Amino acid sequence: MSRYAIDKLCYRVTHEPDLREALRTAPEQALRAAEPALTEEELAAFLAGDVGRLSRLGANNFLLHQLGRWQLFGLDLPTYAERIRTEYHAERAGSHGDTHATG
Amino acid sequence: MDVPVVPVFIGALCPPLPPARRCLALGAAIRAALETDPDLRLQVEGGRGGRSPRVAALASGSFSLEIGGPRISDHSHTGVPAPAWFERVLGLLRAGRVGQLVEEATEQRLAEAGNAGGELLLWIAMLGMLGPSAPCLLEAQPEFGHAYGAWSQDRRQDHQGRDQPKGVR
Repeated sequence: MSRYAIDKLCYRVTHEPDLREALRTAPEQALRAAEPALTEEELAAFLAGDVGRLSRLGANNFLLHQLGRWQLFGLDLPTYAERIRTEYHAERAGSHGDTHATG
Repeated sequence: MDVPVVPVFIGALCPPLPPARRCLALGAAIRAALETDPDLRLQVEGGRGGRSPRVAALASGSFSLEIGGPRISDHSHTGVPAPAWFERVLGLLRAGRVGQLVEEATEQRLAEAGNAGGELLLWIAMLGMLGPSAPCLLEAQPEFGHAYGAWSQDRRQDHQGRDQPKGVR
C-alpha cells in the first residue's frame, strides 16, 4: 500500500499544477496532506530528493522520474539520473556494456 | 478535423503486460469491426460511388527504452538496454514477419528491453489491424530505441501476407 502512495503522489505531480506549486512552496505540509498517507521514511526521502531510496522502496521509476522533470525537491533530470545511477551502481557494473548511450 | 477518432489504450508500462498475441488479435478485431460496419462499407468492391473510405491506424512506442530506471545510460535519464532486440524488431518489421515478431515478443523479452519495452505491443496491435505486410517506410532512431514507420494498403487488392500469424485470419 505504501508503494502505491509513492506512485500516486508522482502520478498526481504530472496532472495537478496546484500540487506542484504546493510541493515547491511548503513541501512537508503538502506531503503530509497526501492521500494515501506516506510513511515517515518515504516523506523524508521525498524531502531529500532521495529518488534512489524511493526507487528501492518499490516506486515505479517511470512515475518517479517526473519529480526530476518538474524540478521538485531540488531535482532536475540530470540530478535525478545521477542519483539513480549511484543507487544502482553495483547492478549497473554487473551488466556493463548492456546500457547504450542515448540523447 | 471532421474525422472520427477511436483511441485505443494498451497499458505497456506496468506489468502484467497483455500478451503480444492478444494485442495482435485486438488489432484484427478492430479491422473486422470496420469491415463489417454497414456504414463504412470497407468491402472489397468499394463503398459509395466505388470509393472505399480511408482508415488510418496510428501507433506510438519504443522497442527498447528505459526511462528513469536502473538501466538508463551514463548520459541521460533514458537508455536503450537491448540494442540487439531493437535491431531484431526492425528486421522483422522490414520483412513483414509479424507472426515471428509476436512469437519472440514474450513478456520476459519485453521486460528485458526496458521499463517502456512493452510499448512494442502498440505496434503489434496496429499490425494486427493491417495484417502482416512490409512497411513502405521504416526509419530507425536507435538512440531512442524506436522508429518511424508507415504501411500502406489498398483493401481492394489482396494484401501480400508473408508470414500469417497463427490464430489470426
